[in-house]
Amino acid sequence: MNGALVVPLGRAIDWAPLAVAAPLAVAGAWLVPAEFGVAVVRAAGAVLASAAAFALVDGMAAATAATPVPRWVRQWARTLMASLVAGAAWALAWRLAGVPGVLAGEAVVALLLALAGAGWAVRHVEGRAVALAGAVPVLACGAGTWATPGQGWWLAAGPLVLVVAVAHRDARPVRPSRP
Amino acid sequence: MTLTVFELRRMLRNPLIWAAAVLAIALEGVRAAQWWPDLTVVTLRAVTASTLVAGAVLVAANLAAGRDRRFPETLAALPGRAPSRTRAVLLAAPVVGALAAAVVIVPLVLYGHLRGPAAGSLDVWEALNGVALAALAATVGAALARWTPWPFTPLLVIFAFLALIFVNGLGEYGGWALPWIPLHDPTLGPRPSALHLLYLLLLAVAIGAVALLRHGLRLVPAAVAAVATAIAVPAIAQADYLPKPPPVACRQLDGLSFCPRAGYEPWVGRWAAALRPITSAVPPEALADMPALRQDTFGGLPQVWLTGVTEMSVAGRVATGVAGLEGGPACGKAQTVVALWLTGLVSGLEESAPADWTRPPDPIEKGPGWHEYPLTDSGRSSVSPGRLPGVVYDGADLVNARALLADPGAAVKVRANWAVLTDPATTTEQAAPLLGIAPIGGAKACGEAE
Amino acid sequence: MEPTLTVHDLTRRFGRRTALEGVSLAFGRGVTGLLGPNGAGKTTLIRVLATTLAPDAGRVAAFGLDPADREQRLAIRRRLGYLPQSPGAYPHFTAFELVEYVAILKEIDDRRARHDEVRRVLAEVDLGDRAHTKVRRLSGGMRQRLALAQALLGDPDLLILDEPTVGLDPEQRMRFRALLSRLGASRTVLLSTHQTEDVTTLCERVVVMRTGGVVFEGTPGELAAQAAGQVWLTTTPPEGTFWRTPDGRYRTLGHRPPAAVPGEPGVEDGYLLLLGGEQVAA
Ligand SMILES: Nc1ncnc2c1ncn2[C@@H]1O[C@H](COP(=O)(O)OP(=O)(O)OP(=O)(O)O)[C@@H](O)[C@H]1O
Ligand SMILES: [Mg+2]
Repeated sequence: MNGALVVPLGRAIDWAPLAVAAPLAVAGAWLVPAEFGVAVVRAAGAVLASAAAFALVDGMAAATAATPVPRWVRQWARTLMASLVAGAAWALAWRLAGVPGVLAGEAVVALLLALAGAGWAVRHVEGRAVALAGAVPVLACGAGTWATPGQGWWLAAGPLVLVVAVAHRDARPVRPSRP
Repeated sequence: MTLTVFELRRMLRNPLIWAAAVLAIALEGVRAAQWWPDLTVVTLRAVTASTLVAGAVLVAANLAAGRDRRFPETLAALPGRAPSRTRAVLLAAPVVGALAAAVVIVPLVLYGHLRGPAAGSLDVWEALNGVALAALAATVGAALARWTPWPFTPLLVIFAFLALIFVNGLGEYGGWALPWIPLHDPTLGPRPSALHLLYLLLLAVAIGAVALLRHGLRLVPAAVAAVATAIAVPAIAQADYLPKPPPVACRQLDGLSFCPRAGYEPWVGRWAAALRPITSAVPPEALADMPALRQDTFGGLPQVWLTGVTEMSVAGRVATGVAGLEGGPACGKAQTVVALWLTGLVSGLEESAPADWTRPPDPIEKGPGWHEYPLTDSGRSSVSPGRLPGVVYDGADLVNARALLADPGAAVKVRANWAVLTDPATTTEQAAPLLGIAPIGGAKACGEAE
Repeated sequence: MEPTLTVHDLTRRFGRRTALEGVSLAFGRGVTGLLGPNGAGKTTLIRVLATTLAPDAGRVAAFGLDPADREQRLAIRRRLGYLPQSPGAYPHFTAFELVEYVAILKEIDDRRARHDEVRRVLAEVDLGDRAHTKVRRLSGGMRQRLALAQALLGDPDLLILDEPTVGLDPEQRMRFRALLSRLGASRTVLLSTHQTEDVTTLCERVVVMRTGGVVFEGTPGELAAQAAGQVWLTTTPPEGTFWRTPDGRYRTLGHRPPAAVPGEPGVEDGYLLLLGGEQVAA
């Protein structure tokens, strides 16, 4: 990948949701009483994940669909940049709240869920609001499993990375190369 | 009007809302199936589940009201003005939201009701709180679309609401001014559900009016917002739990005395049924000494009933009581074997004795032989070592009790020798001929790991 | 001459709707125009040719390479310029930044070469003086030209343009035609359009599609010849569809109205007759 791509892609990303979510997460962890630290950090993970999902919306997807630099490079670059920002904000919130590191697995899975949901949606539908699809799996999983923090979340990370990778594939799937 | 009907039809076909409804019913239905229904709790849980629908409605209303932001040119040139589009969403979305919430709440409450015998009482006002919450979410979605430009803000509101529910589940901060208090402590008395419903509806009206105010400071919406707020705020400020109902009389059943909390009378039969293996195995005079079972924290009867788990806590309490065990080390006593055997009649004995009888530092990591009993429906539970409250026993006692459990004639032998077997001075060794078992002895001192 | 681009028995469905059905075509050097009513399947065909959409059945080959294979598709994309029907843009980028972004994606890695190339294509579409204007401040036609500039980056051997002349003013349209005919001399250019004028003035070959199939393939002259003997001019309004010509007469297609004189057939006449074929024959 060409390093020159980072600057325009970074500028193309819709940072507004993360710009709102990151300060909220950090301020929340800082200001809220310690007894709520765990809950705030978990909520921060979900909010930041849903905000990061907005980075996958590409207004120029059609025009750049047939360039030699493939779609997955662009989408993964967006993914990484947004994940870095969301991850940094989460780590800061986590430090300020002073809660156990066990929560990291869950935060990573929330991020991957959001990226998978939004990645799948932007593949099929145009428009900015499509990224809301990232929050759907986060909320659905959160609703079902809120009561159980733990290391088990890491198990879900591997398959979810695969789902994200599938969503980031080229618009036109290929057969495996023949030898 | 036509526009309202159009929005209504679109919303009724919105897959997001109905997917949320299906998910809410499925998640809460599966959870509810594991608990004996307490209609007070069932209603609260159903409303909490329906907030998933409220979230979907919030997003749907936001997208509908924000449509002219996404297609500004096309819609700006139309004769129908923006306020009329906002009004159409404000009329249509709450109706659909209320309907979808009802679709979630009604079957969940009916399920609890039909599964009976259900404790608690069905509070229709409480159930309607969920319907009002969905309607409120719809107006919030529309207002956000009009006042904030990004599609991300509805998500923020949803997450803030979730954080409130989970962090502040009993409403310690904010009290009844919160849109929803998902948990309930029955010792506080019935909830002011009708007043809270009124509050939610007034809030919905006020926020709808605020959405319309985005199109210019008009007298009607401004007045509506002001009046609705002026009624809602003082009304909710003086909301409080209602007076507690009078206590109900204790009831004798199968030789035991059950003293339920008001509203839990329907469970007396179920408690008695769960204890029948014990009450039918011991002589009647043993039950006469048993203190009344009360439904409070230390009274033996639980507030909630997780099927397959809670039976054990009641059985342990009754078995300990009828066998005359006092608490403390009781290894190698015939009494202990009988008590363990009695609990085994209710829920099997396939477990090892606790290795550690002191509470571990992290209660989540309970060791083998420990039991966890739910105290509330929301995840608070008590953890205790062993199955006989306060009584310390060892692996040998369990082995001996299992041998007794394997004998189909055990009940006859136990009844015949009841007085000797429950004498604190009788050891298992001495009682072995009476029980017809070949006892083993404990390897270590009582209460130490083996 | 070896065709640059061939498709054989191409089929593509969207749910129950068939967008392409048994399409077989070959495109060589020069400009080929793709005509057809809305929903005929032009964009679907173009997306398959531009390697962004997989067909359900059939073979595609560009430069003898198969886009279904990862390596070969990459080789095709290195030689391809593509303008989709709705290209989209980042409104807060300047024209220069936007084109440069695509240039990076087209692997023009050397910074100086890339900047030169961006300036070159911006000049080609007459946006040289607007290079540092934000995209959101450009007019609709300027944005269309900007999208076209992206397709021209790297001087591709194969240009696939979906409705490139939408929104262009007459002067820009002339400019565009001059540009394309120059490119068409040594390259393969495929463009879809609703302007039969584009076809008349620009294309060596024309393909007409209807409901997912090819109904005509040939030169613009041959398409016009389809209407030979079916173009009529009258002095009084005839029955059916007609339009007034600048000299005050009425022009109609198909059966000869009373007191009509034959008119000169054009590409548009051929196209309209081809599509309205059934009614005219009845
Ligand atoms: N992504 C899609 N999903 C579903 N149907 C589609 C999709 N794209 C195209 N179609 C359908 O395929 C058919 C052909 O569409 P296509 O876009 O190829 O037409 P077109 O010839 O380019 O039309 P136009 O002149 O309006 O651009 C239409 O019936 C259209 O509805
Ligand atoms: Mg098209």
